[in-house]
Amino acid sequence: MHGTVKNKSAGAAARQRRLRDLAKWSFHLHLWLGVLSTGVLIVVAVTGILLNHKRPLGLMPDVPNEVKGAFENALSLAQLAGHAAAAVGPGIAGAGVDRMDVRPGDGLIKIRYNDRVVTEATVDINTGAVLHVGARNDVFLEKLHSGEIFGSNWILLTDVAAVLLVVVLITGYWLWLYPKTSR
Amino acid sequence: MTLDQLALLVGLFAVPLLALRIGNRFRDQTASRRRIFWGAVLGHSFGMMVTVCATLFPPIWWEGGTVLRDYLVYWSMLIGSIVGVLAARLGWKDHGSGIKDQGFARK
Repeated sequence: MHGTVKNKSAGAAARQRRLRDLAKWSFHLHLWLGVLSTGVLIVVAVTGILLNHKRPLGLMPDVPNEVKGAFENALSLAQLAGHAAAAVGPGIAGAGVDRMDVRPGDGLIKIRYNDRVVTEATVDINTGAVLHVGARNDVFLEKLHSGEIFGSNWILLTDVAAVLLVVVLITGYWLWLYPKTSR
Repeated sequence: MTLDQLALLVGLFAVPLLALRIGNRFRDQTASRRRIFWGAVLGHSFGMMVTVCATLFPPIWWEGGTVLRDYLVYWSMLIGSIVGVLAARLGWKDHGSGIKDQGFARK
């Protein structure tokens, strides 16, 4: 009987010690990993907010257009690219087309260039009229958000920061809960 | 990896870790080391704000832009913390007369 009580109290003391060690490790992980990931997380958070509101902030052009004809009667991609190139000028067109995004429902095509500013020309697919020419700032923000702006391997940096954030959250929860477990 | 990118990484990770190390057992530190810690933290925080602002405004790729923006993006955090530490050291020397650099050891 006496031995059982002694074993129980020894088990409880061991459990308390384990919880205390866990809290100690949580504190240090929370502190060091939190400080380590602050810079990256600030950039990821700010760019994330800006990307969420890219249209109202004017970071992505929103060009209204009425469909002027049937999709079957649309100009060819080469013709549309020619109209866009004439509008943006040889300096930007010379950087090359990154992508052409056709929107049949809106009767337009967005032609994005590989220049530093990421210029985009919006052209009516039936008439070839250039509706808008401007920078796609959200492309830069997306690349910065992912870390890709520095090179394809740098996305690992934001991956690591995301994992660190999860660890900081978990350890923060434990630091909050630990005093309640020891009461 | 370029020297600019290395400076960014050092400013982003090495400087905060170093500041955290210096700030370990803060109450046991001497007054001059405390000032150095605060100089590094404030300089780094200011540098981080400059880096974020320079990175995002205007929201276009900074390579090929002005040289100043390049430097602000890559070097602000490192230079900011160095300037903070130097300012703390110089500030301490200015206050040197009559003030003892005594520790605050726990009793």
